[in-house]
Amino acid sequence: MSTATARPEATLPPGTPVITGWSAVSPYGVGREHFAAGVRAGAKTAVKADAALGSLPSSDVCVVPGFDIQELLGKRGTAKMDRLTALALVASDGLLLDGDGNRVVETDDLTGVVLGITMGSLENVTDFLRQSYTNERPFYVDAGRIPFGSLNHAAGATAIRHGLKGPNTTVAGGRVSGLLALNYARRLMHQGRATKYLVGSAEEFSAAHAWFEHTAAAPGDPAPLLGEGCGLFLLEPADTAERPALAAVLSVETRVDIDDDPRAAVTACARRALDRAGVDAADLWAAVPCAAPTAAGHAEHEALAALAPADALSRVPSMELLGDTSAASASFQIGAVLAVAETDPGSAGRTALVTAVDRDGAVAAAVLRLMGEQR
Amino acid sequence: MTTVAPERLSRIREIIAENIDVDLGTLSDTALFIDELGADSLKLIDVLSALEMEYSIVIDMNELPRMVNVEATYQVTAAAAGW
Repeated sequence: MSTATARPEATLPPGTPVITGWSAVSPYGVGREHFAAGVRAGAKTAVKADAALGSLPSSDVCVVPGFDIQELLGKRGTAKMDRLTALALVASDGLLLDGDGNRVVETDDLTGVVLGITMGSLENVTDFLRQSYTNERPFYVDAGRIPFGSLNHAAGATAIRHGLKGPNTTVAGGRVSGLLALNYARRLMHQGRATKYLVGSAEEFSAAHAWFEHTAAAPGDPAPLLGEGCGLFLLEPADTAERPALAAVLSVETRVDIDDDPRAAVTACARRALDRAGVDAADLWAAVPCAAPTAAGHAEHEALAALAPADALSRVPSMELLGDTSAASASFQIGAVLAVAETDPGSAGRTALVTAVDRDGAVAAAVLRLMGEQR
Repeated sequence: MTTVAPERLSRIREIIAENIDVDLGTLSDTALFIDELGADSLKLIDVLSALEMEYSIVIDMNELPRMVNVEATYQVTAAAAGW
């Protein structure tokens, strides 16, 4: 970036939340670097499912390769840990620690955590219920798994692992939950409830999840190709950020599609997000839909194609490459924008639109300004 | 006090190690779960419930304070199972 040009953050209103770090545990592998390299290469991630996953409606899956919970997190406290919590913990380590396990991000008593999910660990809950129904007595269940069955366990465990005492929240919003979490963090920082946030979203793959999605698919549709993972960001106010800003969160908007017209809902939501950000759709550097394999997902793509320039829509490879990562998807979309931007100096000062749409009608859109910093 | 059956003791030791998160090889029969091994009351409930499931028995929750180490846990289990 030229030194003669004003740094993009100089033009941000005070208090604008900025992303100053990110990490990803994804079907590309454990760590931000694997994710960034995979996205930039547009690499596919689908593999034949391991037999250990049990009977599945589809043989292809997009799982995090080599994700061994005890190997990554140690044996203590992990024997009965659910995969969702483990994905969030490993992602949080990637965000806050260096390769040797030393803390590289300062946190304080007002550092918060907000994590977007769909329904928590379905595998944990269904296994537990199955024990209760099928064992000799209804209370012959693995009590050690109870804590992992609560919806907010992954966010809580993340805070406990790193000693984060600020607001701790779980937002269960399916595919839009990554953007709901971003909005939540933005709002609480604006109100002075938190000085810094770990914000992101996560989804686990399991046989229970696969059968659930298979059952929920529209009649005649093939079983969806499912992915999993966790994307996490460090969010700070621009004026007090301790690290260079990678992107500023200019706006986050949400709405509900009550007319059964997802294209119109996405268009309206994206337009409002752009208006609030003061960004002209024609100036977008990137526009990234969640690419859900549903009618709503197709409508979302049509809405963005009509709104954004063609080069913006093709700037970031499709999220289809990662499979349907559900709750994790919006965080992966933002991570993908950052990954592509960090090797493209022309992205500095430009803007990106990220949208998401869930089958229950929830719609969300965020507008980011890329700051031209390398991580 | 019940005579200890080695196979049952060995299995109970495994269940305890798994539920209070200690290495089976380092778990002695007299080490105190809470004071020496860092367990908490929640983990002891996990142990109790795992033993109930393993042996299809019901252990009175009031017995929990007696389950301080492997030896005592064996005795509580044996009493509940009628060994």
